[in-house]
Amino acid sequence: MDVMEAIMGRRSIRQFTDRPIDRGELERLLEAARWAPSGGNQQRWRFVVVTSLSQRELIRKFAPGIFAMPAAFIVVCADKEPDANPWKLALYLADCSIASQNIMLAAHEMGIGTCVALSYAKSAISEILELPENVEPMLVVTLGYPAEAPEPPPRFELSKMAFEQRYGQEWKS
Amino acid sequence: MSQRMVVSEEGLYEILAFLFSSAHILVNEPHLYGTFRLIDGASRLMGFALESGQLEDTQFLRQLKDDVDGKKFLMMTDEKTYFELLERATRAMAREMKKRASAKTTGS
Repeated sequence: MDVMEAIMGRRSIRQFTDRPIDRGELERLLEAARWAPSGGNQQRWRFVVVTSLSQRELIRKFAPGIFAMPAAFIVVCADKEPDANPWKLALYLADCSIASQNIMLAAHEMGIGTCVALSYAKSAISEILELPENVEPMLVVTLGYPAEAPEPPPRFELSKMAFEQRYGQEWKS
Repeated sequence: MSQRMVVSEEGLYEILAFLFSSAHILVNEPHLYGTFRLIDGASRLMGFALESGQLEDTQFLRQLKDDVDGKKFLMMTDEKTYFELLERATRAMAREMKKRASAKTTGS
């Protein structure tokens, strides 16, 4: 699968089959995350892989934005420095987002469906995963074999979002 | 009308976790998510009640839940149809409760 095919073919999957994801597959996804770029190559991301049923059930109960039980979660966390300024705080989210996209694209290539969620109670997730105080769950990636094949949602035309040379001068394809 | 428990203790805790989490995260979420969490919560509650096997009549709630679950995600892509769902579901609830109140009054 080439990169554009993966980018354009990936969908947010919210219904999963019961098929588990094996450890080797999960490690491949972690490798994809590990090779994402990060600001200043700081790599302050941390990944908590959750596969046990009891932990998955607990997480889902405190994640109103997750609608069906996935085979696994990868909770993408930031290991925050105690003196992090607003620039660094923004960087943590950017880095975790890029790593999450790597996970989702690699998963798509492997036939695994994903959905990235931010609608969860961070305090509850921190408690369930026993995260240290300085480690914040930035995003949750749900993973499982798809039980649905959603149509691509509409995308705005490039001319509405891309400009040439200066803002307002629309990009002409 | 039955006084039977239609949500188990486990279901109660799950709904409470959903409600507390929703209240917590909605502080920063887009305002439309508020309506979505409410209708999704209603769907979850209907699900527990239908699973309990304790309802006298399941047809109304089953149809309503199917309608809600089939269209609730349109909140993200088709607001018009989503708003129509909210209106329709509320109207259906009113119609059903009117019917139940009337049945209670007449003792049937």
